[in-house]
Amino acid sequence: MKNIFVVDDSPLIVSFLKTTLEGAGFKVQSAADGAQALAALKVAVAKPDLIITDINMPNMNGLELIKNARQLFRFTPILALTTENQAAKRDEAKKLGATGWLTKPVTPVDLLKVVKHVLPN
Amino acid sequence: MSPLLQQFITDSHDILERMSQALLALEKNPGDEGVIDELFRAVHTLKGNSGLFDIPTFTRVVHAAEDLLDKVRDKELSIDNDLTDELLESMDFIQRMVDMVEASGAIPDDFTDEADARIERLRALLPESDGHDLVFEEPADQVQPPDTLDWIARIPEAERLDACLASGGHALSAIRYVPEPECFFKGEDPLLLLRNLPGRQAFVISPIEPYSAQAEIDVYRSNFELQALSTASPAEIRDHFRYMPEQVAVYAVPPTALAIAVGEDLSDDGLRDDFLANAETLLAKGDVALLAVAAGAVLDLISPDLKTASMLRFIRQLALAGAEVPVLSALVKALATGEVPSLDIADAAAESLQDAVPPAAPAPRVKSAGASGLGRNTLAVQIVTTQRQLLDLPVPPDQWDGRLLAIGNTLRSLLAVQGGSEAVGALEAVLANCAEERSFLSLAFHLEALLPSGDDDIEDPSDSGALPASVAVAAVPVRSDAASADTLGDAPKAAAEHGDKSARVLKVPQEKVDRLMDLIGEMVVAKNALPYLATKAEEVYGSRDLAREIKAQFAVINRIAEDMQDGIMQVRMLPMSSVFQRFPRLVRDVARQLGKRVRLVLEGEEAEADKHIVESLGDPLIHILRNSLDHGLETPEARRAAGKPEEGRITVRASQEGDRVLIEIEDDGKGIDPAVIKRKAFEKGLIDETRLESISDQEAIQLVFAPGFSTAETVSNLSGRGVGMDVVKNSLEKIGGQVRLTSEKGRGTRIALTLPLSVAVSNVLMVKMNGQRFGVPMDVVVETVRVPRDEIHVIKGRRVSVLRGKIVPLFGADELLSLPEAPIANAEGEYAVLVVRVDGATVGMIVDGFAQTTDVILKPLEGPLSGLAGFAGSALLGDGSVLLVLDMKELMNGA
Repeated sequence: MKNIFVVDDSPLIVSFLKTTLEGAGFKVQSAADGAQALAALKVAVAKPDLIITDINMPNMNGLELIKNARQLFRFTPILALTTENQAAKRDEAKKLGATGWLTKPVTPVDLLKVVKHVLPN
Repeated sequence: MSPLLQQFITDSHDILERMSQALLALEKNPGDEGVIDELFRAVHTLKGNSGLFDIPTFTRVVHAAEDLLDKVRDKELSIDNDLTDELLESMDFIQRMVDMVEASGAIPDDFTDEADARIERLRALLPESDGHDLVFEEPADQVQPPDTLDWIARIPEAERLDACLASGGHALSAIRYVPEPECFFKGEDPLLLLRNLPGRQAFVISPIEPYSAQAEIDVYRSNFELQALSTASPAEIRDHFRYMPEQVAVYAVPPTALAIAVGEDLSDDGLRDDFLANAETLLAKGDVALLAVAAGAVLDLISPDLKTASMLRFIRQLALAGAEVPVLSALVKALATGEVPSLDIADAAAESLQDAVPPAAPAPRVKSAGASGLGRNTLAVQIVTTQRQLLDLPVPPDQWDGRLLAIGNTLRSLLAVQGGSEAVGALEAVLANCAEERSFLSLAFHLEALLPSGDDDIEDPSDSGALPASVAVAAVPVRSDAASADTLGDAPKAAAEHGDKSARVLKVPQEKVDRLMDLIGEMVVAKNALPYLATKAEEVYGSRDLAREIKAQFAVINRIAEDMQDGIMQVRMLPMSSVFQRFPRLVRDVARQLGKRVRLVLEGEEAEADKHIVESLGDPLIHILRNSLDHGLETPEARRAAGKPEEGRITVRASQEGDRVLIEIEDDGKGIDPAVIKRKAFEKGLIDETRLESISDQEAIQLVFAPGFSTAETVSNLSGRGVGMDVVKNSLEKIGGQVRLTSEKGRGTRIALTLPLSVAVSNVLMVKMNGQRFGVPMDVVVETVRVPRDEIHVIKGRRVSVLRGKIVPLFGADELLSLPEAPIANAEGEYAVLVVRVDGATVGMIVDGFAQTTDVILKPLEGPLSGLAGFAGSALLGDGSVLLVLDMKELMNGA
């Protein structure tokens, strides 16, 4: 079973992602901000197969997290959750090592499509 | 309602609360970037959340607010009163929409107009737009267009033929994808992308720079480009590569571009000319099917290795695919001239610009077996075929050994699974031979022999079943494992360094906590069976030791149970700040509307009480605050005239006193004038003339709690809403609270509320009646007395007695509870009378006797019993029996 790590400071978005991804048979772990996520990722027993992170978050924002997570997991796909008017953030995220992005609001169908698109196999 | 929507509503309340606090904080301290960030993040989250639901009106308003705050964050706009007002009003509107969603699951259409107006007003506050924000710059195409589409010729003819068939005669997409050298470090997987390419037909992988010696290769850098053909539209391809648009170029190419004939250039003019003449007629008639037959007929007669044959195969294939006549004509013409059908790269590129328009008709993608897998054949055959093709590719001398090794390994893995030891042995011999001769020739022959001959009989279903898919990936480098290995080493160290110190807060649905509390209540009861068991052990089984041990164990369990009960009570405790936080906004708004100046001082916000108590406090407190603002505080002018500072002051103070919470609301306004109250009360008929004369000032002030009393000269839209202080008093009493009001004319008013810390535990006095026990909440109990039979008098059919100089009506518990037997007097002829205070009146209930008081967890009656009047609920007692707790107010009202 593939592990997906989702990070968002909105519990609602987290539970949406969780419900959708778990419904599709993924195992989902979550964190509420970048710092929490990084701490969890550092001690993670199983390497996540995919990381999905929000950009605008307290404590440590998504860009910082992407940068740090990329040091930790060199080949793991990372998706940034952005809104439609964050094109600049998207490019920055790419530069820091994100594989791609999801544009909020995202429908369950699109979410799963993109996730399958970037997941190995 | 879906759990997600439920959560959205809860979260929205939270976020809006946070926003209004942040806004007020900003008004005091406009430069605080931390707060601005927090505010922006809150509105941003709200917008993101709302996007999950189909409430566009909501999202649009939040979006407008976000835009505004974005400018504030970028310092293009500063926070001022107008901006704050506008945002606060918008938040109120958003709040209303949340309420609508909560009530009906949707936002009614009549909100649209107000939403539009709001958005317009918010937008009006935006700084002059330079139009810059609205222009999205298309990223420049960074991929150099390929000089040629030459690579198409490098695709084996068989695959090109398949692609032609799949194209259905329509344009194909030619893709050139140059992954970044560092792509692996971004989690990109070029091969996976290629494998999942929609409508993929054929592909070529070529190195960008010649590969260096094996030892020097940096396996973490990508050094290849991928070219592929696909039946999918350029738009679909773009979408597939949407995260790396700068690395991908897509061109629309006609299927004729694939028809690059290969083979011996010997002429066989007779047959070819016959076909050409025939083809022209057929094409003129548009008989494509017959053209395919004609091409097939010629193909049967000539050597398949001829170039002519190659071109004929394309003609036949495209004809079978149903290509249009002009496409076929172009090929026939190419056959006649012996030239490759011309493909102007500029034309192809030009076509790609129009790629937003998909090809005239969707290509029949599913028709070809090639669309589903790597080729038309089973996996094993594919692998062998690929290896066979590899042998034909030119190889630099220094890489020859590596090539042989790689091919040898792949075949070994395959044959080990597929062919058994014998086949592997044969392979080894051939490999050794190759190495000796430094030639792939013998291996090539060996593979030819392994491959099924002919085109049609190679599909052997048993093959595909026997071959595990894993063999195919055996040659893929295991780089991700290497990467995880070196991060693993650091992990435990990092874990030790990274103790998480930040406080975690859990949000738990109340039902869960309630259930836990129920269970603990049951456990408290269940544990009480142990002392009984100990007694039994001693008395029935005569084991004193066992009894002692059980008792010791009971003491332990008892302590744990009590701690647990205490713990769960703590969970339900909320700080007062959760209701106080609404006040600054309220006071600010009201004061602005009234043109008054006021400073709100909040104290003791950290004092805690049960969630239910804290939540029930909100509305009464707001009402009291409104009253203070509206009626208590004077206008700045009046205050100046009275020699007070212009700015009024309201203090809300919470503190804990034993098992009660005390909340005081104090203002330094004009106070309550007892004379005015008396007059009003008299006018409204609340008191009669004699009372008017005798009533003391302090008593008169308490009249504001009388139902239907309102001191406001005119009804303002703030406090005069038809509910007076009586409602405040009632709602507080409902949760076991009390209200005291003191006021001094010209100096101010003070209202003190006392409330229990928790409603979960009630202290009840147990009374005995007809051999049963009933509980009476201690809140209402005044005293217990013994009244001699001869001191009970009957006046107008009612029993009364004089207690402490007052006439107190008495009711028998048998009457109130419809019990069969009248109360019994004790040996001295005295009745047990429980004196309670209900609605300000003192009444007595005659019972058989009194028992002890106890703390119980009161639960409302449920199910068929829920309709029973006169009972506050039931509680489990320590011995496992059920105690019915009386609601004295209801009982007395019914009497």
